[in-house]
Amino acid sequence: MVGTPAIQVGHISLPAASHESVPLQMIAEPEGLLVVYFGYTSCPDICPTTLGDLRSAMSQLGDDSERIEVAFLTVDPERDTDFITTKYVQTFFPDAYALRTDDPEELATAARAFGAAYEVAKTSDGSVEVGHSAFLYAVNSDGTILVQWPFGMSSELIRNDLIYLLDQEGAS
Amino acid sequence: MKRLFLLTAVAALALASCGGGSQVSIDDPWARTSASTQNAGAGYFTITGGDTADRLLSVSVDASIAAAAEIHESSMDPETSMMSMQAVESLEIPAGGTVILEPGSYHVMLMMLTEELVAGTEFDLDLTFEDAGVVTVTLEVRDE
Repeated sequence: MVGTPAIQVGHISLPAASHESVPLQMIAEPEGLLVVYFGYTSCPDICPTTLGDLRSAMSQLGDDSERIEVAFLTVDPERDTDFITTKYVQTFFPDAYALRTDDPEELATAARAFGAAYEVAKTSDGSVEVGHSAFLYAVNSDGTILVQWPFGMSSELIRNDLIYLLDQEGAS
Repeated sequence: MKRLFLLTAVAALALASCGGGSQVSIDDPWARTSASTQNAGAGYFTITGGDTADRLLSVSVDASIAAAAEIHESSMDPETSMMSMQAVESLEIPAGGTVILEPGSYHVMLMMLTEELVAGTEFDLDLTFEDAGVVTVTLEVRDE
């Protein structure tokens, strides 16, 4: 799925809990890709499935996987501490960025820029219900979203797209 | 007389299959590995119904694995693209039909994981069916 016109997220930066809360700008390294996901760590089904598929796709890219950075932004910062969010995403990707902000407005602004949606609701029995759009976004070094993959995209398709996108970025 | 005997035999067979439960079968039971700070896990399998319809009423897991287990369904709101989960009261298993628990759909949610789920390990789930009673399945933890 490609946005028309292309969505720019390069003006967004978010504190990287994994890197002493130094802000990470939503821009890939030159000739690289930044893959961004909005999720939460107590998500048992959707988030691990998606991150697992991305990991599987990247594991088939050889050295080229080093051109891809992964960032996981928690939509549930009240429960997902810096530590929890970092350990969570780095289980899937050892060098990944865990993004977390305590400022609801900063989170909302980032989500709007990406076109992501989320909702955290406390139920009467005290449990927390989280809803979130489950796209993986591939951002290039201009801060442009090149592709967004919906939930359920197979790791083979993600891998094929990544190979194509890395070729494009390398040639530009 | 011979015909009557045959009918009786058929009735006895039908009774036997009722008394013996619905004979559901469970295939490919697995759970995904969990990240070290992930407090919820998920289990998946395929249930095939027997000669009669049945209903999966509840699931339970030993406290050494997780505090509780529930049947949940992930679904997407087509308007907002938001995905969320709802607890499911019970799952209808049609006679001879198949109900698949898989990523993005029905799954067993393991709540408050006691420890990380590590690839290559196994654990048991007790599935309680209305007719078939308690069926224990062993889930293989996989890094998928």
